[in-house]
Amino acid sequence: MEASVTSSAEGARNVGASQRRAKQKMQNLAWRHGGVALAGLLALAPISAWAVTAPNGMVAYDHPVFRNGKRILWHGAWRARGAKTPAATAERAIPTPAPSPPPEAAKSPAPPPEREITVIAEAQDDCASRMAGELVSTLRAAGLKARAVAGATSPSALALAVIGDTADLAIAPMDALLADDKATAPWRDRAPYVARLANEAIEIVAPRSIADLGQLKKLRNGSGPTVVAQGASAEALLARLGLKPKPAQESLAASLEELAAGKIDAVVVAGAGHSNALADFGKDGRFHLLSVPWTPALRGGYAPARLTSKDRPNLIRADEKVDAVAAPMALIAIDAGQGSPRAPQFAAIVAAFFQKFDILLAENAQASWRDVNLAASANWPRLPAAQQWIASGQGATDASLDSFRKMAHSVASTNGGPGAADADKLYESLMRWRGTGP
Amino acid sequence: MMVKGVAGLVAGVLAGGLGFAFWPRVEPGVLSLRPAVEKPVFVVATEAARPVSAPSTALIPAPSTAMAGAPAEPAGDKNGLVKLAAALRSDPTPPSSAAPLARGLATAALKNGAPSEQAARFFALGLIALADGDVAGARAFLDRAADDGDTRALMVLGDTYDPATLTRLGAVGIRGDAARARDYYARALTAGVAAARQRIAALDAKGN
Repeated sequence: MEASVTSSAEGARNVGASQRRAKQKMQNLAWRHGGVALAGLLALAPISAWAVTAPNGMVAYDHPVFRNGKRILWHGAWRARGAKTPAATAERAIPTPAPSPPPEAAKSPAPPPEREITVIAEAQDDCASRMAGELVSTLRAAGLKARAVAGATSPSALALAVIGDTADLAIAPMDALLADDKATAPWRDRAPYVARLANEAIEIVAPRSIADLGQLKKLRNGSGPTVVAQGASAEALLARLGLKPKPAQESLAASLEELAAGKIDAVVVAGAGHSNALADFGKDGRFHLLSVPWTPALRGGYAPARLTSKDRPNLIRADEKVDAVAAPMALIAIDAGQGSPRAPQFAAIVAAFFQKFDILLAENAQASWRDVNLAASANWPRLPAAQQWIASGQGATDASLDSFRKMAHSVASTNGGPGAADADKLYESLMRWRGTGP
Repeated sequence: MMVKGVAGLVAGVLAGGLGFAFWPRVEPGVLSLRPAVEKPVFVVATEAARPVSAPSTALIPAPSTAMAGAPAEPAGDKNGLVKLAAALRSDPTPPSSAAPLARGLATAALKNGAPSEQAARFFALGLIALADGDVAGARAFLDRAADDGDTRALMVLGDTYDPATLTRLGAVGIRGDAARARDYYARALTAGVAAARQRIAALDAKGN
């Protein structure tokens, strides 16, 4: 019993000692964990400070950007050079366009980007590709590093370029952008236009056995005619015409070979211009260009065009004229909307492009440049730096011109489009502005 | 010991707070954008693959032929004028559809014949494009309007080439072509647009 009691007392003492040891152990553990957390905090503090100041010229993205499946946090060093401010400050330091800044202020040299500027153009679009090459030459003439790349300029591709940081500028068709349902803010604001470019004719190549668009639509090869669309603009037009496009997976030359072999019914291409593939196609007279009659449905995104044998001797007979449509093009700035840390860097690009634009008007440059009014507006957000540049060169406001423009905008927004009476009113307004009666 | 525990707790809370504060921000707009990316884009550097990225600064030679959509050469595009002249000869009186147009200043330009509704629509669209500064687009619509019989389009086509008009419009980059403007004004005058005479006189006064 004694032993038992003794044994119990010892057991109780042992239990008490065990509990004390456990308590001590837990306290030590809590202290260690707290210490580790505190040490971690102290260790992370310099990193946090570095993240705010980004001293080595890096700028934080203001949106998630993924590359190779991993999230990346910083822009390249070139974008922060010149800014020399903490990343967060740089984001807020985007200059807003002044209403009418003095020309000297607007045209002062901006810090040029040190990274090579990438200009992307649709691979199938011969005109856009040439223009991209010439734009690059012009930027180089202004002392900037630039290169042109072939890629896609569809709305989804540009959206990817915006978030993926794969290009700085794009020569893109506005019809596809305007027609894209997903092209809403903030995507539109992140891809503002620098300048509206000339229109590009869209051509529909088909066998002569298909006389017109109506006949093409009636073809039933399975689910309908197989019409290959070379490029975003071609896809947008076909959709507008009620035809289901088959996006091209290959080059224009390969698509034309398929057409010649009878595997597809038609090929649609925008800006083919002087493409050898199209210039050399159909010389046996088996193919022609289909007319696209102007309809109100085309208003707002296209302009009419008329092609003759002078343009396509291989596809248009000497006595023929083919009505076509042309899509507006634009020079788009990638990820340059207000709030983007990239926006300030575009001031230098805009200045180089506008100041050296005369190079692009040379006889040996693409003729499309000579139709470009850099001040032309589009139904799309404009890059603030470009807007500022244009505003700096504008003269005093002209009340009669403003009146003409207001009337034009009013007429343009009417349902069903303008009619003869609208044409009369606009003409009278134009004549008043120009100071003469009709 | 109590103090140590509290210190550990505070440190933990601080670590959590800092982690939350420095957690990268995700914008809802970007999330809504991601579904727009339907297919990958393969950007191919063209230094070696394409002529557009030739390393030299030499411009790519542009062919001499004009692309579609550009205005026709004044000397070569006589079809529209012949068509207009034929229309004027064959129908010297305004048809009944001209009644709504027989008012205001615009009537003068139509005294020899009313354009079709389609021509008037093209004309209006051309003026809308011009108001936006889209000179090339305006020319395309006006060309079609002139071809379809709206003589006023010849006058405005002249304006799109007139250096004075482009300057007043605030155009940047695009250059005027006084010779081509004069040609269109002359055709407009021949077609009955009297105001074209003033434009020609203005060009003369400036030595163009």
